[in-house]
Amino acid sequence: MAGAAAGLPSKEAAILKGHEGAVLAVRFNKDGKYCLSCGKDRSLRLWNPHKGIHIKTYNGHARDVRDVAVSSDNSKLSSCGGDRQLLYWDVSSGRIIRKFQGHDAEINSVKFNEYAAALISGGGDRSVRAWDCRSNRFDPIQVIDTFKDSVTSVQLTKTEIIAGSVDGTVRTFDIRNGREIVDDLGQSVNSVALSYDEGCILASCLDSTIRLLDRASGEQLQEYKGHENKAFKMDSCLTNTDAHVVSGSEDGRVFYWDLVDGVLVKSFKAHAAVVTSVSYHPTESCMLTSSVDGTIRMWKT
Amino acid sequence: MAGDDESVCVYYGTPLVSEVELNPRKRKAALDQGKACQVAPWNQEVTDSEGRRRFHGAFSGGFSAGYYNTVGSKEGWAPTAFTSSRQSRADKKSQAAYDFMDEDEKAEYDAKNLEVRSDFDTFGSTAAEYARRQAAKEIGDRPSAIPGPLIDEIIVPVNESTGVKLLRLMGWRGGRQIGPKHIAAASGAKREARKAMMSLAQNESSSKILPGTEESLAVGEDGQLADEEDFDIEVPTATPNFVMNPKKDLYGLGFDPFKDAPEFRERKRAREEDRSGHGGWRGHALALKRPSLFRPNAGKMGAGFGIGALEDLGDEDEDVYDQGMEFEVQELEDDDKPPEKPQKLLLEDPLHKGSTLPGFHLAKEPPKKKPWFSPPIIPKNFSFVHIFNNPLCSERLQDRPAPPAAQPPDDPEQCKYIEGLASFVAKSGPRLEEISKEKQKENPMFGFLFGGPGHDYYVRRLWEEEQKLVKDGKQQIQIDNAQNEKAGKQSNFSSRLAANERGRMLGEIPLPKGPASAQRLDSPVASMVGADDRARLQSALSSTFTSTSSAGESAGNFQPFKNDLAKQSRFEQFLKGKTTGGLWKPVSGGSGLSEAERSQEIFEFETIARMQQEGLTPDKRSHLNAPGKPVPELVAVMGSRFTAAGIETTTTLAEAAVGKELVLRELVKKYPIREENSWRPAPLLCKRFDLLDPFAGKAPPLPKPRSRTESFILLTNPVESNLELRHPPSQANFTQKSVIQDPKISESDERYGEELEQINEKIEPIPERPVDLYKAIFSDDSDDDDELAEPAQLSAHAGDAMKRAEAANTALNRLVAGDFLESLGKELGLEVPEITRPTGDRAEVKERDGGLGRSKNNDEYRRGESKLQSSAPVEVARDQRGFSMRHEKSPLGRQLHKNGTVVEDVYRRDSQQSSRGKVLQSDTNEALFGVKTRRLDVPDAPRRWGDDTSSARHTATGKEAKVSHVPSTVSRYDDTESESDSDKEKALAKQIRREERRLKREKEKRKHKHRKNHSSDKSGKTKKEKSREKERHHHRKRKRQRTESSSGTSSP
Repeated sequence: MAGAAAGLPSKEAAILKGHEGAVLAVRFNKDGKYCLSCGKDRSLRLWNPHKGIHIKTYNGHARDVRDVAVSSDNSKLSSCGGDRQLLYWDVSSGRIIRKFQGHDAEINSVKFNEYAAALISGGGDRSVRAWDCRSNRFDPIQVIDTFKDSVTSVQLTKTEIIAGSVDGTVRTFDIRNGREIVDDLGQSVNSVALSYDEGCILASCLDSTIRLLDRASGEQLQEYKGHENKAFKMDSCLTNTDAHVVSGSEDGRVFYWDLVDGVLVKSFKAHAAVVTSVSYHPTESCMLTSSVDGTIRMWKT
Repeated sequence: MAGDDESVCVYYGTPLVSEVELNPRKRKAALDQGKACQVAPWNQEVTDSEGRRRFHGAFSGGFSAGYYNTVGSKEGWAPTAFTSSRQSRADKKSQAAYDFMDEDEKAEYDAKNLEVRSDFDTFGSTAAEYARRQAAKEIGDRPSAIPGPLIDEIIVPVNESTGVKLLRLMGWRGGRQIGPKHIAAASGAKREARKAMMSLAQNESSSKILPGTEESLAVGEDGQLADEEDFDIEVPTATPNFVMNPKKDLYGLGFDPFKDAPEFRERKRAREEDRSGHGGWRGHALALKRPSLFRPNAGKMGAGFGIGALEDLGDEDEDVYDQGMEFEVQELEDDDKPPEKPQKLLLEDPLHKGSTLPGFHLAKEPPKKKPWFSPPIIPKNFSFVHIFNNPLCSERLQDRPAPPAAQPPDDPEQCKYIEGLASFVAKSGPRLEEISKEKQKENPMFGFLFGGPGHDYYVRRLWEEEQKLVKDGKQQIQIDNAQNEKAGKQSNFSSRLAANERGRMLGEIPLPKGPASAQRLDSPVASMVGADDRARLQSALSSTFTSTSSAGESAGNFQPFKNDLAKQSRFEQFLKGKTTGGLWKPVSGGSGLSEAERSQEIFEFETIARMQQEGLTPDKRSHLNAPGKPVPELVAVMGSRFTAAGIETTTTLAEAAVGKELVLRELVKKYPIREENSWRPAPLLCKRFDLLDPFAGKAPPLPKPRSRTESFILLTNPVESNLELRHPPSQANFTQKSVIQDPKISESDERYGEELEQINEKIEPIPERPVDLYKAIFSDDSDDDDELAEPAQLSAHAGDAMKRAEAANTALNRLVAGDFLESLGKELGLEVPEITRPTGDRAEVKERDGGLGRSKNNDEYRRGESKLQSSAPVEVARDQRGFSMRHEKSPLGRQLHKNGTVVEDVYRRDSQQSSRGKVLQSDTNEALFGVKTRRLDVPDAPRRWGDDTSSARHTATGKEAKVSHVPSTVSRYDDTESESDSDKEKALAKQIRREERRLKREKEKRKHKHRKNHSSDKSGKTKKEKSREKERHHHRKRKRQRTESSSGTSSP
């Protein structure tokens, strides 16, 4: 166990300062060279965390930016936030290509699909909407409104849309089979993450518990407790090896659990305030955390 | 016409209308000349005797106005500007008789009344008035420190008028009335006395009068003071001597509270007088008298606090801010006057009477006082606590020390008396004892009352009885919560239905308690109610109440698993867990049962418990344990709902389902709970995700109807499809399942084919669509292929039909090209946009046997043949199993069966997708598409789209024929378009083809005739069908004729 814990990033490698106010989300891009962050200061920021450089700022949102997604070819960005807008950005020029309006409430989460052909967003209006990036349509391709409460998090696989909601459900919409699979967890789901093998869903709930669900059967495989998550929207994720579960905590700490045993492996104080987002590097053992204290920190072993 | 002087002249013709008529002046002249009759009546004018025009305006007949005969002005009648009197409506207009007088009357009036000119003013008042007015005017002009006429009023004009001077010379003194003195002379001694009084009053009120003025009496502004009537003779009010009236109240400057109620003014003044030093003047004293009479609460209000909201003031002019106390003067305090006089005045004088409130008089007798009783005197030793008797006084009684036990008297009679009386007295109180003491004074048997023999026993007995009563009372109070303890010994309450018994009967869960409930089943009520009744009661009421514990407990008594003690114990545990509520925890794993066994067992327990709850008696329950024996009642009940199943225990399917669900619920019991629903992704979403639309080809969900009518319209289609699907239920289900939802079946071709064949035999014929609908669509535009064109009728009008067929051909060529492209694209793995296909209903009819179903109409048959001739070997997609499938574009899954002919509607596809040309290759639909692609491989196949015949024969095997149904509107449009396009281009080719076709048709005719004879015998066609076909045939004929006639005109 100690050996496993040793491989986990816990040393601060870089600190990215620039956001004025809370940083609400930080995301590695697909290859992990860059990262994007968004925050309450209504801006998106592109960083090179490995060098600690702030590359670009994207301003355009009218309110706090809650989530950001990068297309797999790194050419497009999309961000969403409290202004109920989904902005579709061109990375290099920093211009807004399109504004998707249609959500009736704040948008909590946005994701690109595999080829950045569509955007999937989930928001406080209890809906998940799919937007078309290819055509000039401004209205959503589809609105999924089976949720009973606001949608906090959206994840995509190649064929499925997975969304967690405050109504306590994680819903998987299988596009290929035309099925909706509802996994009722009984607790408000704060964020949904996928394992790298896409066999499991990691759902962090507002009862300070992270639950690991088997996607095939819908069974709960493990619970992870110890951190504090009762009021804030926080991310959790799996390490790139799928061996550990990472989550922030409202007390500014970061927790590592063993995926299988559910044992708390490691925890350390990462930030002065709530850790809002964690993003694990896709290949290396490297992690980014963002916090309400306005900083983004990169952690390495 | 003509005057007398002109009578000699003879006029011919109509005289010219001279300008006389046109010019009004001249017309007038003409009128004078008596030519009025020539003027139309509306042109005539009215004149007066002097020849003046009489009427003006308003079409010359209206108003008599203007110049001399007018309202008097030169302008005539000129309306004045309207001035609204609205603002001045409230202004009072004082009118006097003088205003209404005529001039002569006025003159008369003036002559009668003397007027005083100001410079000869007798009294000086007018002069003063005049001067004052002048002053006021001046004040208005010049600004002054003190606004208003005050200063000028103070400064009295100095000059005296001539009249005053004269009067003074005559001995008049200012302030005196001018007039005869006879009244004064007649007054006599009374007046003398008054004079004396007046002089006194003058002395007293001299402070109020300015020293410069001679006038001495303070007189009110209006001279109608009642009590001064007597003085009026000597003190005229006519002289407006200026009296200084210093402001003593706190009203605003110029505010006169008594403006509209002068009668109160005097009262006020009287009060002031009284305050300043009462007793002075009699008149004031008199005035004082009045307020106290009609205003009893005068001056009682709190001084200095203003008027409260609740204080009802008699008069609003009351000086609220009076300072100090007031008191009423009840009596007249004058002593130098006899008291009768003023009192008489007070009571009888009508003027005085009027000064009371109008409509009231003074009461003759004072109102009677109501008697007032003083509160009773409470005795000093009175205690405020009321002591009740039984049972509230029980404590007291209980506290009473017990009298010593005594032996009952020897006499049993007396003993009985004693006991009886004691119990009575205990119940009714000691009063009874006294009564009986009174009554039974003489009776020796009641000697115990008076201390005789047996008294001790009586006392003791009485005490005992009282104790008993007290206890009973207590218990009665405690009856609800202390039921169990006394249930055994207190027999007198057992007759009532206790709460817990009632609850048990109703199946309620009792409150948690000790083990006392063990004997409950033996309790009187429970024993009274029969077991069956109880069960019935419980079952009847169990729906309204939570599950019973008694059932659980009685189940504890009942042992369904007597032979397996471990199991029995588990069952009990299960029941306990169930009744205690909450989540049921699985029986500990120590039993060595596997998971499956355990769940099986739990299910069993559940079932038994349920049965028990519903009140099955043990003997009935025993059926449960004996597998294979159905519970008769249950089977009877459930049999109607469920078909028999292969489950060995007949605990019924319903029970099983419900029980299983419950057990599952309990086993699952915690999150996460998984559910699966159908969800339809948008086609575009699938596209963007690079996925095949799983719902491609299925009817799109109905858009939400925006209005009622819309929903109605939209609903018709599915309903129709449902109706069509409904025919043989099993069949419908099967096809739906196999075709749309269940890909497994279609995957295994072999099974599918078999099943289909089985089904085909079952299918009943479905009435065809009304023919004329699509005939109306298709026969018009000759969408038929040339080979398929109706030969019989066409022979007559070959030329036109040829043309049409030609056009259709071109259209079909397009389709063929499209299809070819598609198939090519398929081979190359590319997506080719599909040419828009007809969207109407189509179905393929396969005929098993060539011999069957051939009794069709001549031309239909022909067509079928001709089609087959032209494209038979390649056209029809078939598979080895002897049936072919076709891509069906109608939204309705349709199956037709005709004469053993199955029209298999294989696949539905919405037109949207087909137009998009998406070739679906999802594995689920592979089997279907295998067929489809095969069809697509055939370049000629789409010809059938244009075919409106209902039968076609497939000759490749000689076994089957195809009936292609219902071509579409789209093809029709294509055709019409193509007609215009290709008409000229193919003009040459037509000629050649026509010849060929004619030859062919001849051939076909012959063939067809032959076949008709052959098949009509064999075909099992009903008369009905035949007639329908005939009808169709007729229709077509008519239609064709019509179209031909129309096209004959247009086509060259």
